Amino acid sequence: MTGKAVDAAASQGEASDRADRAEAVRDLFRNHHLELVRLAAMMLGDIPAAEDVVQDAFERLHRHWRGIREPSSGLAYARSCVLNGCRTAHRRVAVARKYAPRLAGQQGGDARDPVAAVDDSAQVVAALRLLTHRQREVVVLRYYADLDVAEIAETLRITPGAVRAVTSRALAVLGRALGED
Amino acid sequence: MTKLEERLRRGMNRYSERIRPESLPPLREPSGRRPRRTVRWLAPVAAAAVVVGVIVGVSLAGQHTQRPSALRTGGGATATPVPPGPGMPPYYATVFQTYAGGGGNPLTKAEVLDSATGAELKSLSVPTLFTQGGANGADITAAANDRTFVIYETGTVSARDRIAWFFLLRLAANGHSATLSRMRVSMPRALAVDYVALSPNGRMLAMQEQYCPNPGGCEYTGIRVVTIATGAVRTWTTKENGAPFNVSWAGNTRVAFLWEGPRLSGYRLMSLTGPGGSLLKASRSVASPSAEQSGYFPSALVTADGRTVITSTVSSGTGTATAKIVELDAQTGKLLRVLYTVTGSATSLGEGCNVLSLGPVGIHLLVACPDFGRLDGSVFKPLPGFPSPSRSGVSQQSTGAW
Repeated sequence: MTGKAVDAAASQGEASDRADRAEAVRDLFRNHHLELVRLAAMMLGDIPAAEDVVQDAFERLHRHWRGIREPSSGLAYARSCVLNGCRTAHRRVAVARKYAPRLAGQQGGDARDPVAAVDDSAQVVAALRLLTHRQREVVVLRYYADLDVAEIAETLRITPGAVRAVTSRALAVLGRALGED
Repeated sequence: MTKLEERLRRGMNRYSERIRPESLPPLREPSGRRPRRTVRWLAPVAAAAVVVGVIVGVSLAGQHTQRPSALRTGGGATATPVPPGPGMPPYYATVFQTYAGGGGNPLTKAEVLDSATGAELKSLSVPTLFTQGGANGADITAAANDRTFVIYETGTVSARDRIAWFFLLRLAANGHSATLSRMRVSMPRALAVDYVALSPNGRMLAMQEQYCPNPGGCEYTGIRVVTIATGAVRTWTTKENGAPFNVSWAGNTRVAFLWEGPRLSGYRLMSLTGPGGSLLKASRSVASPSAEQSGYFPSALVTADGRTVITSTVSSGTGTATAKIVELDAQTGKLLRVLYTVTGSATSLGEGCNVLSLGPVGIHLLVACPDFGRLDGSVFKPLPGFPSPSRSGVSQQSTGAW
């Protein structure tokens, strides 16, 4: 086999691998994009930011797809990427606010946010902002994504006991905020 | 389930239903911008592929003379503001794309910020190249005069039809006013260009080019150097399996780039004194960072004298990683200095520590490792603007240069 033929074979193999990876990510995107954006929106309270975080997660997923042992775990990996992205986005907003006070006004209520305190969902989402990031992750995964304690523990890489403890503290905060205590 | 739990479930579901499937943007697939580089020769990109990435914007010029005398290893953000050192560019500029306010399409924004304080001095809207075939993210590169930047956007209309826009951003002396004008840089439609770098004197653009007239692959790849005033073009090309990436300047007469191919990968330095010709014959290898576990090569910059390579290394453990920004002897690869060290999660540091831009004098770097900031010698100062202060900015949608 000549050098060029070897190159061509390697080339085809890589192209095929890339195509498979792209297709797997596309499938995941088709089936779960909406739910992941909604998850991120719940975490961030900002829809454009949620779209960006999810896009970012899919790019990461595309790059690391070969490293995922079980393709069926793609959704779990994507969910973790989204939550990590939300955490980073929170940190960046904090940095941005530190240096750009004009952003501060956007934090409490987003003018673009259609949920302008008109129904109970706005109160609930506003109350989520009172939680620590970890508490919010647990609450959103538990009551929005409908994951059980074991699944949350796996997603967040914490113990089931920690999930229960965090949930308990979060519910106490939310109960007070929503007048349910 | 308690009343509170039921209320939480109902409230969050109701909120989420406000996000409708039809309002969501389409998937943008990675097509070749960093951190994952596409060698079109190996795998032609799909026509609709779109991606944005953190790219190296480079300005290298002058003599590399003013070095900090003491070596210190940074451990993270410094607590107090670090005054600008001699030779630090007074301004840096970022470009980013955001969906906020774009009605489902990305908008391109540029911001000019004060290097010492991070204060935003000027914000501009850049025409957004968004065709049916998709568009790559915007990128920015700087000359060494503190005032001149080039913003560019590239896109793929079809396998045979590429498009590239270039904009000249000029700042006034105070950085508060700026002009943005479209540059006349003509490209053959089948030519894909990327990784554009403005020369320190602001007169030339160097860029990766890949000529791909057929969907099945590219005929050649190389470096294209365009003289802005005259439009004169010189090219160094090769039909070898691979492609050049991370193009930057080392002074006004040499271009550095990462060559990535199945048989050979690493940074190379090429003199532009000749008329053009063979890319690999006209260039020589210089010290390179090791590829990370994922195969990713971090960015690297070569000083104007060609003697030093500034780059990053990431070593991963179980869940954690340590990233270092280092100086290497360009010829021998010997480690000269560790400028900065940071430890964090492998997730954030993997492919996440890169040198972005080097000021014309001394060691004044813009870095993203993983936080964005300036590195004056070995002192790190976090800076805003990268990602953008826009609340929807994400890391891979921003790029900065000075």
